[in-house]
Amino acid sequence: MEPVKVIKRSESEAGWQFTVEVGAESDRIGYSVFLDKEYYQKLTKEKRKPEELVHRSFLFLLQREAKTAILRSFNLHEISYYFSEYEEEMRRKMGL
Amino acid sequence: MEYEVDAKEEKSSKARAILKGFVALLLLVAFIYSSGVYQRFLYQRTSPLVEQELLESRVDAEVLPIQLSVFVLRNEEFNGSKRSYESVLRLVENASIVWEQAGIMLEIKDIYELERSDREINLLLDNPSLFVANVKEFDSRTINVFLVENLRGINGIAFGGIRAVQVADYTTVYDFRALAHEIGHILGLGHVRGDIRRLMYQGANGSALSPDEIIRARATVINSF
Repeated sequence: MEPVKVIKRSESEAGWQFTVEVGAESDRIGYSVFLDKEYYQKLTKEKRKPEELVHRSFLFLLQREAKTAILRSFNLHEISYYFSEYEEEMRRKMGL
Repeated sequence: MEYEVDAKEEKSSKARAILKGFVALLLLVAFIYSSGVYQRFLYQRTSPLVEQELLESRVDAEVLPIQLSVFVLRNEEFNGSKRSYESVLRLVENASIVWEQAGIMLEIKDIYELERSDREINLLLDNPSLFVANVKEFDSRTINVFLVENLRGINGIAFGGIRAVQVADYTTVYDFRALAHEIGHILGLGHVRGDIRRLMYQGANGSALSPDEIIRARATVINSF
C-alpha cells in the first residue's frame, strides 16, 4: 500500500474536512474527504480519532482499488454504498 | 555450658534466616528478570520528536515495496501495547526511511487492534506458529509486525520461518530502529559485530547497510515477496 497522509483542514458542528494524500512525491494524488460527526460516532463510539478512521478507510479502499479509481472528493459514509463490508471491517480492525 | 549451646543455636538460626532471605532475593530477581517487568522502568518509549535522518539511496534500481500487516496486541494487563495509531504510523515511516538506502519501501497493508491476554502474548514469544494460527488476519505474503509493551527484556525479535516480527513499546534503542533491524533478519541478514553504525549490530541505533547486505535483502524481496 502506498503511503497515506491525512491532514485535517477544518472542523464544524457537522463534522470534519480532511485532505488525504496517497503515494510518493512523484505520483501523489490528493483527495478531499468529509466525515460527519454522527457517522464518526456510529463507527468509533468516539474511542478513536477521526484521523485514524480516515486513514484506515483509505487502507481499506486501496486494498480494493487503484488510487486513481478513488473519487477525488467524497463523504466517508459513501464507502459503504460500494463496499457493504466497510463498516463491519472498520469496527473489527479498530477492535471495537 | 548451657549458655554456649544457646549461643550456637542462635548463630545457626541467624545463618538459616540469612540463607532464606538470600534465596528469596534470588527468586525475586529471577522473577523480575524472566518476566521482563524491569523493561517498563529501565527502557524508554521512543519520543515522537525523534525522526530517522534521511539516508541517501545507494541503489540505482526500482524501489521494491514490502507490505506490512501490523497487529497492536492490547489488553489491560501488563504486556498489552499502549501505542497510539499515530505512533504505529511513525514507527513504520521511520523504519521505512532506514530501508530507503536499499531501495526498499515499507508499506502498511493494514493495522489491526487485537485483544489478547498476557498469557496469549507470551505464547507469541514461546511458540509463534501456534499463536499466529489463531490470528485470522495473519498474512504470510506480508511481514507481520506484532506490537506489545514488553518482551522480557529484549527490544524486538524476528521469526523468520513465519515472516513475523515483534517489537516492544519500551526499548533500549529507537523503536523504529528495532523494527528495521528485525525486518533485516526477515530479509536474510544476520548480526554483525564491531561497528555500532550498522543496522544489524545488536543493541545500538546504527542504521547503515553494507553493499552486500543491500544486495542480499533486495534479492530476498525479489525472490520471496
